[in-house]
Amino acid sequence: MSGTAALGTHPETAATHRTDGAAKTGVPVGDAAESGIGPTHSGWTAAVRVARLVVLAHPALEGRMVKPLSIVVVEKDRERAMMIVDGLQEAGDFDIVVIAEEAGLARRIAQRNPDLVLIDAGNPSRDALEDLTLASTPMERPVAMFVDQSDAALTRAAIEAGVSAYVVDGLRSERIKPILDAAIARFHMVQKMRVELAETRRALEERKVIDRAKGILMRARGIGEDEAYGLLRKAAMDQGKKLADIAQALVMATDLLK
Amino acid sequence: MSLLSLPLGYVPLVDAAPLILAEALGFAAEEGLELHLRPSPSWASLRDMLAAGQVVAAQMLAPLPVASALGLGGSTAQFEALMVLNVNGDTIGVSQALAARIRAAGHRFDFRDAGAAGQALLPAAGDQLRIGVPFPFSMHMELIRYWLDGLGLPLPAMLDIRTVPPPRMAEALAAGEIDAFCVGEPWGSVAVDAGAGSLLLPGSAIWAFAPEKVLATRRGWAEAEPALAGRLMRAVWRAGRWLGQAANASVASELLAVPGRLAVPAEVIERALTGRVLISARGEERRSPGLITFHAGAANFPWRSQAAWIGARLARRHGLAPEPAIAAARAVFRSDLYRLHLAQAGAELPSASDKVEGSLADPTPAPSVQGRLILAPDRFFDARVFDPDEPMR
Repeated sequence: MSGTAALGTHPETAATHRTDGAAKTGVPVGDAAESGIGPTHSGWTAAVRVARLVVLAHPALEGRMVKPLSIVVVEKDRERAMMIVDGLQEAGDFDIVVIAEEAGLARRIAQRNPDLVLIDAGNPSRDALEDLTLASTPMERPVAMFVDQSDAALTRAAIEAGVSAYVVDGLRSERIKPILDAAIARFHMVQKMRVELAETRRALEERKVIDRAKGILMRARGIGEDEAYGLLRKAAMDQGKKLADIAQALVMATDLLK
Repeated sequence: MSLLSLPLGYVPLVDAAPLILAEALGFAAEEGLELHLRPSPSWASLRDMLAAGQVVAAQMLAPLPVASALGLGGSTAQFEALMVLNVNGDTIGVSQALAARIRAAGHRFDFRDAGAAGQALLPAAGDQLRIGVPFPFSMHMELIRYWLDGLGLPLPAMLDIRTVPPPRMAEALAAGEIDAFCVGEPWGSVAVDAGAGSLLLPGSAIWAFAPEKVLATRRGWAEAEPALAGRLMRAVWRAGRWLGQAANASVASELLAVPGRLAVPAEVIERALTGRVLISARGEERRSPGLITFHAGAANFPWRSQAAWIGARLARRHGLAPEPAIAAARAVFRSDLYRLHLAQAGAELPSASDKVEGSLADPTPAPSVQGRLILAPDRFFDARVFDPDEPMR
C-alpha cells in the first residue's frame, strides 16, 4: 500500500514520489504516546494501529498542503477494528486512530480532535459522543452526519449497516462519502461474520443437545441410535416443534428427575 | 381484519413498558395495529432511526425533541411529542464511598427529602463530584442541574456531569469513573444489586411530576397520518392505564423481564412499578409510591408548560435567548393532537394546556372538558414555581 512508507515516520523523512507524480509528504506526527490509548489498557495498547498516511498536495488548492482527514474508530473488538481500519485505508489516505476503551470516551475523542468519528450504532457508548456536540465553538462541534447529509440513500445505508458517523461541522460531503462507503462495506462484512458465528455456535449447541437426548432415549429404552433419532424426529413432527426443542425438553426433564 | 404494521423504537427501560405492553397485551391489535418493536442501544441511534424513518414513532427522552427544536445536539431532524409516556422513573445513586461519607455526616437516606440529601451530598463530595447521566438532553440532566443549582450551596470546583450509557452505570460507579448517577429504572436497582452504590433519591423528590419519556414522531407525521397516529396513541394510552393499576405490577414485571425486552429479573423491575425500592445492598427498603407513573393525574397529557420549563432550562444553560426557545419548545408538545385523538378513548382532558408547574402539593381537582380530572402533586423540591406566563421570573 502506498501509505505505509510514512507510517510513524517524521514528515521530512517521508517525502517520496508516487507513480502518478503527485508530491507527498508525511503528516505532522503527534507525540509517541498517541499510538497507545493509555497505560491502563495493556494488550490492546500495542495493537492499536495509528495509521499515519501521506498527504497529497492537491493542485487545485494552490499548492497548499491538505491534511488527510483524521478519523477515530471506536471499536472494542480488535479483529473488527482491524477490518474497519483496513477498509478505510483502501478507500484513501486517512489518519486513523482506534479507541477501544469505553470509559471516558468523549474525553478521549476530544483530546484527539478528529475530523470524523466512526462508531458502531449498536454500541451504547455512542450516547457519550453527544457530549461532544456541546463543544464551545461551532467548528469543533461534531454533528451526527446523517441528518445533515443531502444524500438520503447513503444515510439510510449507513443506518442500516449500523454505522454512526460524527463529523466536524462544515466538512464537505464529498470528502466524507468515500469514508462512509468504505465503513458501510466493512460493517456489513462484520455483521455477516457475526451472524455466521452465532449460527455456527447455535448449530453446535443444538447438535450437542440432540446427542444427549439420543443417549437418554437409548439408555432408557434400550434402542439403537437411529431408532432414538427417529423417535425424537417423530415427536417433533407430531407436535410441530423443532427437533432441538424436543431434545432440549427431554434433557431438561431428565435432569429434573435425577 | 389484517393488522397494519407499525415499526416502533425504544430503549430497554422500565418506562418503555407502555409501548411493549401495547403490543403484548393486544391494545395495539384492538386498534388494528401490529407494533414491530425495535430496541435501540442508545438514544442517539434511536433518534437516527426515527429521523431516517426506520421507525415511525419512538420512546424518547422528553427534553430531546425540545433540544432538537432549539438546534442543540448532534442532529438537525425535528420531532414532536404526541403524549407523555410516563412521569418520573429515575433514581439518583451514589458510590459506596460517597454513601459512607453521607451517612457519617448523619443523613438517613430517607429517599424523600431532596433538600436534605443535597445538603449532605455536597460537603461529603468535597472538591470533586462526577455524575453520570444517560444523555445530555434528558430529564436526568435537568433534574440534577435543577437540584444542585437550587441547593444554595457552593458547587464542587470540579463538577462534571457526563454521559454514561445506563447499562454501564453500575460498572462506572464501581470503577470510580463517577461518584453518582441519575438513571432510569431498572438501572439504579441493578447498581444496588451489583453492590456498586446506594440510592439516595427518586427523581420525583426533585420534581414530583416530571415528564420523563414521550412518544415522539417526526415533525408533521402525525398530521400527515392522522388515523395511524390516533390508533397508536390510543393503544399506548390504554397500555398506560393498565400499567397504572397497582394489581397489574407483578404481571407487568414478568412480561417486561424476558430476553428481547428488558432482560433483567422481574423482581428488579417490580421495585419500580410498586414503588418499593431497595436502596442498598444491605436490603434497606424505602417506599416511594410515585417513583414512576404511567397514568394517574393525566400523566400522559403533554402540557405546553412542561415543554416551556424544559425550553427555559435548556436556553439558560446553553446561552440561548429565552423567549424564542420557550416558544419553540412549547410547539414540540402537541397537546392539541392529544385532545384530538384521545377524546374518543375517554382520556381526561384538562380545560387548559398550561399549568403553573410546581404549584400543587396535594392531589387537586382541575377544570376539564372531559372526564373527572384530579391533578397529581407537581412540587419542586425547593418549592419554587414555574409560571408559563412569566417564565423568566
